[in-house]
Amino acid sequence: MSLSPEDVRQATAAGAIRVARCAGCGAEQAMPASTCFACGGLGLEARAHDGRGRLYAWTRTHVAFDPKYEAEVPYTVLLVALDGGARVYGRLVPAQDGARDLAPGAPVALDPEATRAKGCPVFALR
Amino acid sequence: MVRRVSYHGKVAVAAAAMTPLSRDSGRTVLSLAAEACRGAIEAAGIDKAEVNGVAAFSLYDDSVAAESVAGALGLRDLGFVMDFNQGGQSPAFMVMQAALALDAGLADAVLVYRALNGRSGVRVGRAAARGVGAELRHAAGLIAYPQVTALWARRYMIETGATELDMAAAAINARVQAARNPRALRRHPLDLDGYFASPMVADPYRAVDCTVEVDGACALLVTRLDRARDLRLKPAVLAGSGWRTHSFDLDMASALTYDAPSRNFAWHMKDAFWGGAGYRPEDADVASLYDCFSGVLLQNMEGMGLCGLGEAGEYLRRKARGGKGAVVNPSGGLLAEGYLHGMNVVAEAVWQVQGEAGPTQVEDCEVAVTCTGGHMTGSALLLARDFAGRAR
Repeated sequence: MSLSPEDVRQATAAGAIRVARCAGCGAEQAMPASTCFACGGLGLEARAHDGRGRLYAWTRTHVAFDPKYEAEVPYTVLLVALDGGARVYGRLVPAQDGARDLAPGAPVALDPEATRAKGCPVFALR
Repeated sequence: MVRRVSYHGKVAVAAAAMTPLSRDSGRTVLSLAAEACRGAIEAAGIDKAEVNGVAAFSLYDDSVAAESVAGALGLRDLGFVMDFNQGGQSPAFMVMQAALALDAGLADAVLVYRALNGRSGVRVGRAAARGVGAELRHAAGLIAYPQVTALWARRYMIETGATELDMAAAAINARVQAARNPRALRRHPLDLDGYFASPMVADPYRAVDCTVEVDGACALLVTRLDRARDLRLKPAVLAGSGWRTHSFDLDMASALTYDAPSRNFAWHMKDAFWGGAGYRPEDADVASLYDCFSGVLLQNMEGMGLCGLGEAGEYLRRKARGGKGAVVNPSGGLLAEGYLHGMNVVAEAVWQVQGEAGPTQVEDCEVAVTCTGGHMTGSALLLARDFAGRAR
């Protein structure tokens, strides 16, 4: 069992998040892998996640590091700690991006429609 | 765990040399590398025929192979070559590789260099990594290193209570030191007003919090200590060293599984590092630490044990008021001198211990600590004057 890059792409396209839980040590991860990052074990079990978590870190990007991002800057990239411990990169829903102060541990929830549209996990502050 | 490392005290950096740094060298990377290596050979006063090892690193194919440089220099019969493929965590580690080869008797004099057209050619700040980690990051618009390291800085601030004022202290210190360094690309003074007026790049990092990409090359010549004693300059003895990968997942700058970003690779290595050297952090007269971004300097100061977690900003403010402690980044570091992927902070440490630092020389520098790397992985050296057997 594992979590493959295709699993992650398909989940995103469906507006969802999939994580893998290690049957050996219980650690959860949202990044594709065939082994557990915490213990190296082979017993990863992929499952759907409800997309709820808390802000772990963020950075508001003001510079377009590639021309195709000119229209998007400034935008905020999130590192979210999902309930259960897996961390995932994502974005804030446009209505909140730049409009709300961010604090560590602030609760967020996955926005399925925005996730489908953006092609990466998009969260809203709860 | 403290282990006795075989080559500590038996190997030295005999010389270091650097080309001028610019935003457009107008030259090939090979010619830059050869110039820096020739400079190190000449500074050491060693016969080129004795040089029989070459070690280098590159990232995203931005450099030239060690053997190409050896060929350009007319070296023959190398007993040791190394081409390493990591980033700014590499420089101190390449010196360790040279030390291993020397201690094993595979070579007698090893060049260690870093060369690149990092501004006019392949720019690390904009390079897109490949692989699964990159795919995940790019989907979220996390495409360049300044953004990735900004996430670490935010987490460092969250975990330690450090603030933008501490970031400013790092950026300001770099300019204060660089004012004495004719090689530095960023020498104009910076105060708090200037810091806060600097445009945001990826928060918390402003333009002045980011290193400047450059074209250039830097080379070190490493030999066994007894050989270095007969060469032109005072040996910078390799009294301590270490590499640490604390943890790793998909790629170089991933914070997806790292346990506590405020504790970087150096933090996890420091006990073994200082114990293995037989020195303490307070013995260092100079700390020439990797500072590709302001927060990375703070993390490396704390990680190497100069002060506790979250205290690096206050350390720098106290030093600025005339307080005691190692001088931090007397060359201006990567922030002000320019980004040679860390090789230049190692060179500055060598020159300081040798008394060859010129305008940036810290008086009576007997011990210099240097580290290269910022987050999950990195390496460090402790360089000391040759005390020639007498008790320290």
